[in-house]
Amino acid sequence: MPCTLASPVAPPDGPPLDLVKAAQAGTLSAQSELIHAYQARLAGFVYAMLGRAAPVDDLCQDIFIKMLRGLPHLHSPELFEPWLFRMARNACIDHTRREKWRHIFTPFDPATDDMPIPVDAEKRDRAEALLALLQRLHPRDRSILIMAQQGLSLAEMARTCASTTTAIKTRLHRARERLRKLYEKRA
Amino acid sequence: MKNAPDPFSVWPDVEHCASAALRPNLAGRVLLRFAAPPDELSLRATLWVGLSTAAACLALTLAFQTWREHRVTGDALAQWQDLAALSSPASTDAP
Repeated sequence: MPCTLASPVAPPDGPPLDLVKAAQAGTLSAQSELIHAYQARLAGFVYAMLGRAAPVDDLCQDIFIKMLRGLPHLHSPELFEPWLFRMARNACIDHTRREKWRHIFTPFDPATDDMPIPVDAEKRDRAEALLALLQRLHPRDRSILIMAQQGLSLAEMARTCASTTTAIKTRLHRARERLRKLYEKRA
Repeated sequence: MKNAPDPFSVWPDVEHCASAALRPNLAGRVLLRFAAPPDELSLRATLWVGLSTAAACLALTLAFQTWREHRVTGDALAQWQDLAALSSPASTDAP
């Protein structure tokens, strides 16, 4: 039997359209509820993309602020989820680029050290092992794998990456194969 | 291949760690920052960058124009010198 990735965490059915529309209208409680609904998934996405815990909170803040600023201009509330993850993906890629330049000019900056996460050491070690493997993939492939794990459909991922469903399917398959091989080598 | 390990079996641990990395009351902090007036420091920085860029473009344009004028002037000078050499008595003397 071929190795298959674990089925993704059961995603919510997407936020109710009413919630998105209320948040677009500026209702504070709706905006707060929307942030609560997505903060865990967004944090998981950012953590997996960057491989470090230190920037997760700040980047999530920035992404949610961009979300609130962009909500009035979102013409299709039913496309909220791919729209949000597209912002998250672009924010992570921009952050990685900025960090690369920062490391060139300040290679011994202590701020590059990661922060300790207050969780069970075994869980942290397992998560960090997976993240180390993910960092070896191209950021594009990494983002597709993580979005698949978050429960986004192929169509939603295609919309997020401004690509076609066929291309995403091929890329996802190759990324999974590569990750599986890296995992087997490590094991 | 049959019993190949599944790397994403630990995905719940990744999400758990990510949630633990968030500081408390993310929604409250986001809404507060969203409602706050634009940061004066970032406005100043944007203005500074904009003015510096405009000044640099102006300086480059002036430098380019000066170079062009100098080149034209240099060409004209060379032509004048050639004409002067042709019309000088030494050049009109019969061999």
